Amino acid sequence: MSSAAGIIFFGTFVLFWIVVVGAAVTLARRGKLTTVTLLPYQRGLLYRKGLPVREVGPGKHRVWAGSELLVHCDVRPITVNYENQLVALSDGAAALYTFSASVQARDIRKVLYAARDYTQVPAATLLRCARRQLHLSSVGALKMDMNGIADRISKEAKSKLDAAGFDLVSFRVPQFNLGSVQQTNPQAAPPQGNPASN
Amino acid sequence: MTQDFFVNSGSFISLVSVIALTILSQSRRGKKRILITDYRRGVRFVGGVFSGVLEPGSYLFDARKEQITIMDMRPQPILLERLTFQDALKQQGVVSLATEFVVRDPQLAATALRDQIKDCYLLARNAIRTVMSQQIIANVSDLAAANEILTKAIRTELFKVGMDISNTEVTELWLNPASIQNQTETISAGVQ
Repeated sequence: MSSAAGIIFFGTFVLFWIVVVGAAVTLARRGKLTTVTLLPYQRGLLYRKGLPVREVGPGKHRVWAGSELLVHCDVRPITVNYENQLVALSDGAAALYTFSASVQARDIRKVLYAARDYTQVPAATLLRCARRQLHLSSVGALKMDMNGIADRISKEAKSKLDAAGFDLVSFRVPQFNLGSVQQTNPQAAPPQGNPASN
Repeated sequence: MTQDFFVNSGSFISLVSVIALTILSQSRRGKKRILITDYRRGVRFVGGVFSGVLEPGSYLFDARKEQITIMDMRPQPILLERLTFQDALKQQGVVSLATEFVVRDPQLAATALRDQIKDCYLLARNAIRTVMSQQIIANVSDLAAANEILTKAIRTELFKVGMDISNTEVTELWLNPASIQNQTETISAGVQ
């Protein structure tokens, strides 16, 4: 073997081992390179070493499993529908209401940080706003302005949902009945609405 | 440079590389990698003993000796709706509360609660009933005062298990008119 050929062979040999050891170290540090596919209705947030790096859209994304994580969320509209909810009004009367709404995720980063389970945020927000706005109203005020209550609820819910990264697409109150809570036995507990808790 | 030099050097480099790869693979045997995002914390136990809270990042841990419990620090919206109570004057009432549960102390929450949300829901509900039974509700429209009282009571209970509440709002407070009327009549009769 000539000296030049020997140097080339030796260089190639050293380079081979550098590549092998480097690949092994990289795999050990960063984990396997995996492919994550996001569907057209999904958006994701890529985390590197625990911190958010960038938002990603639909398509294939290469992720180092050991140091990166792609958290994705569904941006299809979330339908919220609650029927026959009972609420006490400010003057002691009662109202029975039904509402339905559609909410869509807009800002993925805000949505992911809004709650442990972001899909629960729209329902919780709408129930909260509806109950509060109705409880602050009286029978007289509601009779005078029946449509106004839906506007007030949707306005309050819209601002709260906006802060959580959602858009309120639609909001309707298809059923709304005013009445009084009749108690046959004063010692008995008042009628229960549907607990929409948890 | 002779042929022997290349052969000897090549053999040495191969040996060193193989040893390096062996050490690398042995050092990772039984170890797992965990990624903790910025909205989570890891409560680390080594040999069953608490050893610290892991901040966001990527960690290699020995699954044979260490356990890491992931705690989600994001808020969980909760509605405590139409909880019935009896106040200090035995008036029947209903209260609804909207709030969010958040983890305040990951270590305490991980060790004191099996299911943070369900357990805290029960603690909060009991705290509301307890505190409302000690109150005399003079004005049902004063939701801010009720909110303050309830927040304080729930927070006191949840602090004991490493949890907290935020963004609390009393959405409904109602007293049974019949029981109020009965009470007023009793009081009036007593005065006369």
